[in-house]
Amino acid sequence: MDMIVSLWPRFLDATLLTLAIFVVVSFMSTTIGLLAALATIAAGRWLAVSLAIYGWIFRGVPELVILLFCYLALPQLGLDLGPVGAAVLGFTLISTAYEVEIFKSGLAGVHRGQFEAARALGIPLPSALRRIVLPQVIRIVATPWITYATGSIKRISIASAVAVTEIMQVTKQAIAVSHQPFTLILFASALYATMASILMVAEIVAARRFKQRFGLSTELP
Amino acid sequence: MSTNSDPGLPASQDPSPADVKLEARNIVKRFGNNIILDGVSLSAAPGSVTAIIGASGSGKSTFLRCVNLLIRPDAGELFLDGQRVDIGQRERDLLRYRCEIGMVFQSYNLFPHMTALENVIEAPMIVHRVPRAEATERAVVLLEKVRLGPRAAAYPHQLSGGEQQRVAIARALAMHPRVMLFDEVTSALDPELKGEVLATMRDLAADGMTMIVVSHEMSFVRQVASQVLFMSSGRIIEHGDPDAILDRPRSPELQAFVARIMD
Ligand SMILES: Nc1ncnc2c1ncn2[C@@H]1O[C@H](COP(=O)(O)OP(=O)(O)OP(=O)(O)O)[C@@H](O)[C@H]1O
Ligand SMILES: [Mg+2]
Repeated sequence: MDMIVSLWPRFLDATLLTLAIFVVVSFMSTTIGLLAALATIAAGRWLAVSLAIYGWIFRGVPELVILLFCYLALPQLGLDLGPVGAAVLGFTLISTAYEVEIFKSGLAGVHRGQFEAARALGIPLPSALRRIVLPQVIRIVATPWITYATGSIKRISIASAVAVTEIMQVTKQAIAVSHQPFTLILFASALYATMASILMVAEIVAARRFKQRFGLSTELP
Repeated sequence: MSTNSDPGLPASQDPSPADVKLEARNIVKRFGNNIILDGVSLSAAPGSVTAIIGASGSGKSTFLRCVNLLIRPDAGELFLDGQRVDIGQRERDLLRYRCEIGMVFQSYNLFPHMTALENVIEAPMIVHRVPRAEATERAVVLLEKVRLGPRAAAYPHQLSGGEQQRVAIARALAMHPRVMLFDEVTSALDPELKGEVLATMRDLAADGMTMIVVSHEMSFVRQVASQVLFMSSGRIIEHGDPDAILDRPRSPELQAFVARIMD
């Protein structure tokens, strides 16, 4: 216990860094993923094909390989982002590939008639997307988005491999000096579990609000 | 195209006369190699109710969607209040025309995350930039007109099908359309709910709204329609007043259709 207390400042920094990476990566990948998915409505085949290739690469290649590429290979090409920068870039590239899929299926889940009703009322497409389609997409993607986010917080532990002082990195360093792997790994697990739990609670709250608004079945045949 | 296959419609290229609210001339629509609409024409007088009947797949919905340019016809002309509508214009410019033509769908298509009232005020606020208070005032009147005053705060999932469809009618009316299109608006409803929607449509017709109605509610068609068009394979093959069409069908297609509908 004393050991945890003495290491607490380092663990706190590591947790905050993990959260910061998570927030930045989630924000960027969600924004880009949503915009790319929306663009597929209006754009032609080339965008769909590019997104498919992108998804194939970044969902197919292991996360560690992509992080190592960003950390070790990109500097060779003149782009040295440092450990945290490389991790943020790598995770954003990976997460964007998943977010595109999440939002594409969310858009597909909005009844065609919604678009048609908006057009029939003379509502311009950008307004229709923002006011009519997006709120429905958010309801549909809430669960897959949070499920992915929960996984993505845990995946940040991989960044320890590119020298980011996130939770796992600090844990490994502490184990090396204190030789108390059991306590330390348990403690690290508790930190991850806490962060994931917050997201899971958020999902329950969101689900309850959506049920209030939309009822159980929202769409007609 | 021979004129006698377009019964009762002018073949001249003159501008549509002023006593016609909406006119469609020789609308053609293809999907791939299939000709779905093969020169469909219609002329609706102000305040008239035009009923379109015909077998499934005959092109009724496609025609209605061409009338408000939800889909673009490959050929043909449209006139609203004697003004020619440019069917080639950009989507952005088409929006202004679509506001003039209200449309109600079989599947209601209410916005599920908005209350009945919010559904009705949405388009006026966004498209016509009507202030919320003013839009709400008018929406309350419209919801009362469709006899849903007390349900204004309900979400679509809390409403019956008949109530949802009446909200959809109020939502379309909120844009002050000059013409209203109804595409089988009662066919997804239980028999006891059809009546309330048809009653709303009767009120609307009595108020002088020009309406084009795809419907298989034959008693409604008989009582309310000023003219009936019978569509078959993308053409209007008979056209006349309801009694003539339903009681004295001439073509074998209409005879078969009437026989099927009546039992
Ligand atoms: N977007 C489309 N692409 C290809 N074919 C289409 C499309 N929309 C309609 N069709 C075809 O056009 C024909 C007419 O369809 P439409 O929906 O207009 O018929 P309808 O008379 O309204 O039938 P129903 O009574 O079943 O509603 C059908 O054969 C249909 O398959
Ligand atoms: Mg139809």
